[in-house]
Amino acid sequence: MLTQIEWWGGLIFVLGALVHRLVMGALERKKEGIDWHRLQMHAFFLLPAVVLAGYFYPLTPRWQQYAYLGVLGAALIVVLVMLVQEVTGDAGEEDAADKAAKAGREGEEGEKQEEEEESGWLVTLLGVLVLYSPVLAACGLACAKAWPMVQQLL
Amino acid sequence: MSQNAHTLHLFFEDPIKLKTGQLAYQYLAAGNTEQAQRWAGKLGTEDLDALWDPQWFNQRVAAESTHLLLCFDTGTHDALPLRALETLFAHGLRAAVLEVFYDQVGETERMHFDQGRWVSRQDFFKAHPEWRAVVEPVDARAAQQGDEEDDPYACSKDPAKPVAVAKLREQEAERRKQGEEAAQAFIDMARAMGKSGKSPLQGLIGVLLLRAGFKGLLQAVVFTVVTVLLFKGLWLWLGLGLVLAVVLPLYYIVTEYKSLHGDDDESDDAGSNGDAAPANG
Repeated sequence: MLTQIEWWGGLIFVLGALVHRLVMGALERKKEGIDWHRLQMHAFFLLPAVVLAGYFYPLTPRWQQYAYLGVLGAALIVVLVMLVQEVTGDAGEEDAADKAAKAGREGEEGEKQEEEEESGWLVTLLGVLVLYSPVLAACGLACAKAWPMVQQLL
Repeated sequence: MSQNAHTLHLFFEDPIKLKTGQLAYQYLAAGNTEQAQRWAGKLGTEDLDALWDPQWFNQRVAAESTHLLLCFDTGTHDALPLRALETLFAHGLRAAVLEVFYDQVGETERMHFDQGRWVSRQDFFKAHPEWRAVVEPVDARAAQQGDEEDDPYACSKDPAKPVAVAKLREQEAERRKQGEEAAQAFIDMARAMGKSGKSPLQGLIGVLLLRAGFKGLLQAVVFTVVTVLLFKGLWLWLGLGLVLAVVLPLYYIVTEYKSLHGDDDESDDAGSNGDAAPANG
């Protein structure tokens, strides 16, 4: 054991790594220029991984606390932006969650259009929440750790 | 018998080098080794094998005012004349265009060389626009009209970035060596299977399945080592690793088997359809 990370933290890391691989595999590679969406997706997984690793360490020096809060802030921004893009479908390319949701919607025939749209939106949201639960769990744990730090610093 | 027909346009640095090269190649094509040796020496190389491969046949040498045209045929498995190009580039050759017609598949391929490097067609004509009319006599007009589909010279094989001819020759030699080794390994395996009374195809399928199983086992081992080193809970990760060491190889083997079996089914279906058609007719 080279780190202080508990077994359940390890499970979150393993699940997150699996989801990361799934999602990155579903994303199409951009042939020219910098692929910003791909970079954003990497940040979406890597920043919560960093804050989750930090969760298992005491972080007593002041600079470490500031650094942790900084990384957590960046992680929360990226996660929020990505989730909004996923749910509203603004992302430049269709990703795994959208594909999964669409596949789920294909079976629903014969229902009214409005109901389909509403259930599709809900399925997308549910798919996104389940798929990205390791990232959300990491962010939740990091927020729980950061709250006393914020109070202390204020 | 199938063969590869090569046409080599050789552009020299000056008219004297062009004349010397022309004489060396004309004597080589005529089989006059003594005179060829003399003119090759004047060109700067003593080794005739570095200029000419004895396996070339149907050779023809024609001298134009701007360049030397060398035509010859080789067997379908013979290498490109990269050694000759490398030698010529070291002794006064400025640029070259190689066209190969692969008789077996009916395809033509073009390669452009400039200053000892394999370059793209675009880069070649950017550096030597005056030679376009010489190298692409009929199509220059078609290309200017922007009619890409009708351009018979659009068969250029271009490198992603310029590659030195010496390096290209090394890469080609390495590729050929690997191909020969793979073929030899397959022949050896087929022989071993023949001795033991099993079909080589079954042996190949067995090797593929084993490889798939090994891949799964390797992934499980890497997973176990990384998680045991990084996270607390030794027994949890060892247990998970053990489960994965069973599940992953099985999963990969079943997937591989299905893909192989699926191909068989498709070919069987095609075969049965083919058989059924005349019966129905």
